[in-house]
Amino acid sequence: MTVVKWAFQLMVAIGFGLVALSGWWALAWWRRRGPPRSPWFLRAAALAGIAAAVAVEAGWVVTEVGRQPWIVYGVMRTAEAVNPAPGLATGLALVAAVYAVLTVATVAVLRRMARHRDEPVAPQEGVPEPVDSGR
Amino acid sequence: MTVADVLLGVLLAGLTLYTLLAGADFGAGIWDLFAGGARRGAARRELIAHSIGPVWEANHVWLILVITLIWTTFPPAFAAFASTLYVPLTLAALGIIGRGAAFAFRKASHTLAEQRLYGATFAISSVATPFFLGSIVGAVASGRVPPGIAEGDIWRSWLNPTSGYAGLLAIGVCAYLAAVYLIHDARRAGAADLVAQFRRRALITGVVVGAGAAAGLAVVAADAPDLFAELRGRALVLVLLSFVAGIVSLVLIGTGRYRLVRVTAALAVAAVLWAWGAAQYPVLLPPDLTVAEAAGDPTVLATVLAVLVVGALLLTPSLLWLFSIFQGAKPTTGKPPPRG
Repeated sequence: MTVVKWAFQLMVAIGFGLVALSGWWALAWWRRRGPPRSPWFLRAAALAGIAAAVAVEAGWVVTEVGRQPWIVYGVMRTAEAVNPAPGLATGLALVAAVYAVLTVATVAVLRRMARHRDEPVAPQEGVPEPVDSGR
Repeated sequence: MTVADVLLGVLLAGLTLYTLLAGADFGAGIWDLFAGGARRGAARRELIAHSIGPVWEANHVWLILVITLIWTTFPPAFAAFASTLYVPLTLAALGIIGRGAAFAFRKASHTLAEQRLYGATFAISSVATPFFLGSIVGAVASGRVPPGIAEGDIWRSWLNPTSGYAGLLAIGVCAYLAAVYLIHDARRAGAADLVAQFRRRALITGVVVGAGAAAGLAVVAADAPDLFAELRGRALVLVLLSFVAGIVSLVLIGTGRYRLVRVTAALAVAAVLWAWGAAQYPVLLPPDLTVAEAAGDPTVLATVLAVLVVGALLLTPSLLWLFSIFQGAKPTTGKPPPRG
């Protein structure tokens, strides 16, 4: 199945890309005790966070799409396992809508935290680390 | 006693801990809702946020334990439960998600409008979620979740007199527990005015919820006569235990024993859950799905029990440490701690 193939290859490619990025850093550190100087390293590092999440999602696509039409491989089909109760599509739409709102709110909050860096968000982080004092 | 019985005991213990710990978190959110205007309620909201903050959402581990345990040890019961009650289960999940997110987002908000929006989401989901969870208990207890996949009515199973009673009782219990716990928190914070406020709230909710719980039994008697008969029968000891613990709690609040009352108030609430368990045992899903019939494969049960023991050895000290750290720390009301 092409979806599974591409998802798998994407996951593996990102994985090796991240390994290479770490290697780049390690090489620079080994040579002269400092981070790589190239701005391309910083660009790649900024993308690495998103790429890692994409790799995880691609991995899920591999397992979930790859297992079809089984829900329990070789034992039970997805069609047999689905809840026959009415209205499930509405429930799914509701959950999707809530998560869409949460995504927007999360991005908004994170953007603001990036601007004012000493905002505690989770209460257990109420005493923020002095991030760049003493530099 | 079989392995399935032991696991059922663990299930009830997990449900009890969830009610006592997360219930207080929900209740704190309910008091946040009724804390008054932005200015007038600021000190109360600060105390509430500080009390919940340290163990922020950690208490949901007990709900996860309960759900996973029913799922793995009593699969036929779980299948019936989840498929018939998917509406309130989804709504409760959304309430828990919205609550946690809004609580965190409110902390990171600067404008009053945003804080109001997130604060309202936090407070409203704190009221709605216990109602859904309570109505789920009412659905099972009144025998409206028959064995089989989606055999019950997806609406009437949890929108009925017994579920309404259980849902309202859950809201009341959460508010009561939170008020009781917050008295001591306020005293440790050295806020005498907040001690008086939560003391009054604890006394009022104690009387109202206790009276409502007793009066509401009339609803159960009419709507779920089988359950009521058992509550009057072998579960009567536990019903009376709840009643006595509730009265003792009122006396302890009146005489200023704010640490000890945490124990008796918790007992008053826990005994209600235990009474439900005792009334139903050995039936897992009324009318006739018993614990023995619903239990999974013996190998699975033994494995789950072994894993639980190992998990408890790791989890219990961690949680006790977490609670002791934050209960020992001196809370500050008003200003956040100095930075630097």
